[in-house]
Amino acid sequence: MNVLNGITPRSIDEAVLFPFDAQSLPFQRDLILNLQSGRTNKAEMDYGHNIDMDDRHPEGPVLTYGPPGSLDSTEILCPQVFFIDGEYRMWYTGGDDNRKRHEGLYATSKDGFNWERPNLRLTEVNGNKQNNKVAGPCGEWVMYDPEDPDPKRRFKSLFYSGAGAMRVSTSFSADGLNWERATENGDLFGTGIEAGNICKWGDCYYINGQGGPSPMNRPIPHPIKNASKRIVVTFASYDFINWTHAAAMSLRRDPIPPRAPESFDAHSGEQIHEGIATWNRGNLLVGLYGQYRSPTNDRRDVILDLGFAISHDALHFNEPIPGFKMVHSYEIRGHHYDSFAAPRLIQRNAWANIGDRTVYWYSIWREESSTWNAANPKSFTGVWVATWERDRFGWIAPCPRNYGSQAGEHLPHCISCPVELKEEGKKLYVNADRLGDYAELQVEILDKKFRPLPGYSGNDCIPVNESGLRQQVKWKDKDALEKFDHPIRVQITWGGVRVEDPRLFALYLG
Amino acid sequence: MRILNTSTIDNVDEAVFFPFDENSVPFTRDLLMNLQSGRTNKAEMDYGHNIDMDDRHPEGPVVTYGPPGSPDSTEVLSPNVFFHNGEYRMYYLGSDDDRKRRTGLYATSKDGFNWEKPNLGLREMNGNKNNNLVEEDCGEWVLYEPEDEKYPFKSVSSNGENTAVSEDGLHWTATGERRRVFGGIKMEIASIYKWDGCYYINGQNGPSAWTRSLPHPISLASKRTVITFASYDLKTWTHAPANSFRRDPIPPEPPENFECHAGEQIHEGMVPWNRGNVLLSLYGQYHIPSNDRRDVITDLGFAISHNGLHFKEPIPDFQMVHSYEIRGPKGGDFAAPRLMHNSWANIGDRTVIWFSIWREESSVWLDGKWSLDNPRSLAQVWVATWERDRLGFFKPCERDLSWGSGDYEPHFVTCPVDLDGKGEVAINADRLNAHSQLRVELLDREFRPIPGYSGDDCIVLDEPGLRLPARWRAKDKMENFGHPVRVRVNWEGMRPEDARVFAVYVN
Repeated sequence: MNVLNGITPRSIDEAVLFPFDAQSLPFQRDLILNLQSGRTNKAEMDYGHNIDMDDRHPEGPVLTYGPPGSLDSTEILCPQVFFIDGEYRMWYTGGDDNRKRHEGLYATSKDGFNWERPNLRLTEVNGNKQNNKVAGPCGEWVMYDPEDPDPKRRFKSLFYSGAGAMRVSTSFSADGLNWERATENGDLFGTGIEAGNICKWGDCYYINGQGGPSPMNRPIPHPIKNASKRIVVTFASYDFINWTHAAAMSLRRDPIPPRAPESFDAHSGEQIHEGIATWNRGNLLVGLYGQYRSPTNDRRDVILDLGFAISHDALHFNEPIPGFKMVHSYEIRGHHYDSFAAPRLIQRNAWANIGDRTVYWYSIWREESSTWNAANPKSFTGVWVATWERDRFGWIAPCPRNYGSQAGEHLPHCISCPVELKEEGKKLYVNADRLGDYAELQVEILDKKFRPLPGYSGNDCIPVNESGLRQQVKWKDKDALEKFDHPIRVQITWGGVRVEDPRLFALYLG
Repeated sequence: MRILNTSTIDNVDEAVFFPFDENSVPFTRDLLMNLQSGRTNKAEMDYGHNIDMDDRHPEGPVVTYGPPGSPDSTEVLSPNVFFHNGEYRMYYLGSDDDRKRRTGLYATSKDGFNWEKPNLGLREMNGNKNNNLVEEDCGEWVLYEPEDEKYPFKSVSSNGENTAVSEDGLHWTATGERRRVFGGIKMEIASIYKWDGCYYINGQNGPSAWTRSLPHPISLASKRTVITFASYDLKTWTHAPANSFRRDPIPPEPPENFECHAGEQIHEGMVPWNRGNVLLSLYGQYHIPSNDRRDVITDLGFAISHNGLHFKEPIPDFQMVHSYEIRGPKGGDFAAPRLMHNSWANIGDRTVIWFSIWREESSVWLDGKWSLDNPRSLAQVWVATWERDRLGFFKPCERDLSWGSGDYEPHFVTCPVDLDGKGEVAINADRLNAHSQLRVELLDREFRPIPGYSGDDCIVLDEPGLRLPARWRAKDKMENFGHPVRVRVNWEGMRPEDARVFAVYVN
């Protein structure tokens, strides 16, 4: 009998082994893991030490208010971005002059940074169709599913149905512009949900979101009634219509007994806002969650940074470094460069690798007291981007020599999980920095049982001593991997007289 | 290409779905999960409310000191217990009159509670062989692997210096020259175990550099964490370990302090029990308010794993075995730190672990000499017990913790199970009666009820038991479905909040 309580290994074209993924790169010796926050403005303060300019990063928001009378004249929220047919497409929520919110607003971009709002003429609002709102019941949560065999279901959405507090139904679309309700059921989960993000892992759909603090969206209760906080819960479905009514506990930051409650206020303390935005990288899901903190029970005091978590089953997430802020809210600057602690970032599924950058689109949930007036220069609601050098979310590097065992004969190294190659010709690349004549990486291939494979040993490897986002690894007689009839592992060993310099950000097998 | 970065699918004869195993029971609705500490004495305080007597639990330690002159006259530590050929065998570490420690002390028991120390006549000590020492190469950490017909017994010696194998558990052969198997570094080991064809040794990483292959980012904030090395042949081990579990903060969370012994840490790693689809484990939950090691208290915390490398606490900081409950020979309370190795078993209607107490040195070294009479020396082997497999349970929350009447639907759904053929489902549950019942249904992988096995077809469970067979109107067993199935358990009745589910068995 097989108990399928781990993920069934999936067949993928390219594997990305990140150093913060303890499942994919489990064995490490004398190495320290660092995560790296995304850049949110050109001039970035290095924790107060320097200003580091990067002209590749946009100056301000990439999508800001529409003109008065438009559907997003006062608020732009919850961008979801997908690369479709050679362009980036965004679905988002806007607020009009009367602060009424409209879901299913649409924008497109060729480069991910310069966006246009097409006049779709699909939906009449305020007496005319001159707007960028899609047709039909497109909700706040959108998913692009190009693998669905039914072309009418390539786009999927969840929307509040009105069947009760936070009760949700679903709709499908062939083109993302014209939507039809998929079921009369207006209560897919048998409870309310403040949804975060939809994803697909294997052949199952998952929707994660905020469970609690109130009973209306709390399928998994806190053991102490009045200590209930915001946690992440996940529901599952194989057809996007019939969903579990029971949820998985995906991530929580609030204490449960025997740890003492921080408070008995629903809004104070360390919590998680609106689930986890995920990016499917084949062998793992990379996620950003709303890292919610409030010193009081007044929601105007809430600050929302974006924390970082990963998953291998789309149900359970863990933080490689607990409490780390992958996107800081405080760094956002206004149009006039007057600093402003933008208090609340909102995350949805909106990731991409664009050229040499990794990009994440997010929005700011404006602070109501300061932004009620749309002309207020301090209102920062809009779509912004955080960027990293491509896939450089974090790295491992050797610890200073006196931190480790000082054993001498053993250099810092790491070893991957086993990988089954189904064909020959796969190549290995490293994303690494600070390599040079005195600091290099040596890559060797082992079998599953950790034994070096002839021709791919450390001695056979041509050391990698040039930095780059995708540096190919070669051995004396081999550029690519042959088709092994058994799983392999990859071992990377640091070397050189300045062994502590090189930073390894990712390993690609593809 | 397939990335094997999670546990491989386990082929098991019986799957056990515990409420605290969120991989095996991922979906829950309107349920609370509780863990349950082990009983360590007959008269157990219910958090100060009651005294609950249980005469099935032993009165005191189950293995105590040997007489003066014996190899365990002053200390009995670190039991490894296995069921072999109809009896329980224990390998432990003892200290003689001069406090010299030796590994490979041996005891046997028919019932797990009454132990004998056989005179093996195998190893000379103080000029004679009248003792219970097995041959010398047996280390402190022992693994019993009955599937290996040639060498079913394996061991690791001091801090990873060497490994040894044995045909009978009494005569041992070192597997190589004495060496540090982890590559120039030592480790304070907790246990050796096997998962999916690979051997693992886990233990304590840090706080000092000589056992620290995974450094803390801040040198002077280094604490005790758990790491795991791997090998497929017991000889060649990885020199890089996995980071298995930690309790100390790392940046951006600030260090608790810059003293290596102070703070919340983990003493000597994990001690897993392989239940087929999950590893259940106790770890040394180390607390100390100062940097003086005499102030250490080590309770036993609880963590689980699905790959032998990475462990997670279902409830952080829960104390599965409280140290404060140990009572001395004269009944005096005593806060005792603990050590244990591979020593779990289900015996009849009880789950048992054998553990030992690392004695508090200040209380037993008196007047410049070792005192054997000190009633406070408790360095012996004790047991903690639970009703069988009742380490934790689900129960419904109160109705008003959920949304309200119409939507209150306490239930859980398991992960999919691939059955090899026909199978049975059984439930370990308590507090069932005419007003508090359970209904079991089978779903396919896509969560759709399977005809004949739906909730409506189920004969409700309304009597408590350790293994209640699930039955449906026309079916006692699961047929060979040809596809994976999930088990769903629903609570119902006038008082659904009473019923507790401790485990679901599928075989």
